[in-house]
Amino acid sequence: MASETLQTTVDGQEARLVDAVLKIPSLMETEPSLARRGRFLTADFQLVLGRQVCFVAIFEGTISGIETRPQIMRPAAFRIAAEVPAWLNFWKAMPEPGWHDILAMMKRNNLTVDGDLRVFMGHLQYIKDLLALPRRILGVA
Amino acid sequence: MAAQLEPIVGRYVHFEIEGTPQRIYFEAAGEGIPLVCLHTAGTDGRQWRHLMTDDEVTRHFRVLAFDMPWHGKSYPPVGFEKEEYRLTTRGFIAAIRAFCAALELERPVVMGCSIGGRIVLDLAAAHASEFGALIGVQCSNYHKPWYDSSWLNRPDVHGGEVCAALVSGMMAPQSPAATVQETLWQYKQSGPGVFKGDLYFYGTEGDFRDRMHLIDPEACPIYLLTGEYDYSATPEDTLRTAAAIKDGAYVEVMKEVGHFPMSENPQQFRRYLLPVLDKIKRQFGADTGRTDRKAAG
Repeated sequence: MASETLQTTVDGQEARLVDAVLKIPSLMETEPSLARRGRFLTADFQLVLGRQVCFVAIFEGTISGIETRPQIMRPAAFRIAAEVPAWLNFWKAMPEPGWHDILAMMKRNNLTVDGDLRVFMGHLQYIKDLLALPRRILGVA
Repeated sequence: MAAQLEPIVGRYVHFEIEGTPQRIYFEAAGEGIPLVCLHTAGTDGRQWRHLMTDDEVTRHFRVLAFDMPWHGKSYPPVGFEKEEYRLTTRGFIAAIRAFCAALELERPVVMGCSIGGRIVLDLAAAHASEFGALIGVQCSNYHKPWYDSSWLNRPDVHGGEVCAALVSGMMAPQSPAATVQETLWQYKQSGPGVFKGDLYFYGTEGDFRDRMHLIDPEACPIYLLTGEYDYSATPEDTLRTAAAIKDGAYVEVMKEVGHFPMSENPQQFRRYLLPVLDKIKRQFGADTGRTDRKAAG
């Protein structure tokens, strides 16, 4: 029973994270400079929140879609993955040291990035800023 | 004159480093105990500009910050296009000593951050008698390379953008946006391959763990300050470094700052730096009673 309760809690947190990720396009509208900085990026990437995979499609710096339904073998340029507790720490309003940056989390083995790293590194600050947007929702919850 | 003029004066000085003629740009402000500030990898002396306009500091210290060769307004040496830039321990030490000698600084205090924080360990171990005190900001006696630095200099990824993006997360989320962005701008302006070349010293030559016994704080006091949000030179790294110094070293973990305390959040940095400078002032007053009144110009 205890493990079922824990799983329910994780599922609930995962759902909260997914909701926040789905709001990234509207959050981007408040930061027009972000789309401008990403204007040379057209790519799909996977954002993995625990067991949940979000397929994020970017067209010339703007998010053209985020899908959460299972799509096995859907191609993506790269994949960013972390467990639910790690994302919860990252998306705190004022994250603790080590949880404040995706590269900091990579160094501490709390997040992985794989795939075409040229795309990832070529647009690193844009991707960092994009991924930080849900902090505005989850950070105040 | 109605416009605000800062007290910072910038000049060029010519001297040789390891036999190579160099034209080195430096800025200075204040008078008193010479305080030479060393910038981080891939940037320049502008990182210290806030310290140079802080009356509490410049009232007692002549603050000097020079751009290392290849950095800021100091050009690379003639023929640079034929070599790949790599900062070595020997070259770094030689540059610092040559600058201090060229300006005839008498037992200056040296404060460095990151690679500059790391090199003060070498200065303490091998040249303690030349310096009045040493301050290592973000100092670690061992820096294990943790990413592929070839990303920092390749034709298909913008060097300035990727260097800045790489270090952006080394700053604290509490740091003001204006000073964070200014710090990143310095990385965006760095010459191609310079940040990567500096990291050669940090990652390839920087393991100092087996030489810590050579540091004698009695010969030259050493102070270590590290920002809590730095995941490159972490507080744990600095605490380990301090613990390895004979009789321990003054060490402070600074809250709410990261890898670039002096430029990302100058106000927060001075809270931790001023007590250290007070100790150094007392040390200089007690030990020598001297002040160096030479002006920047």
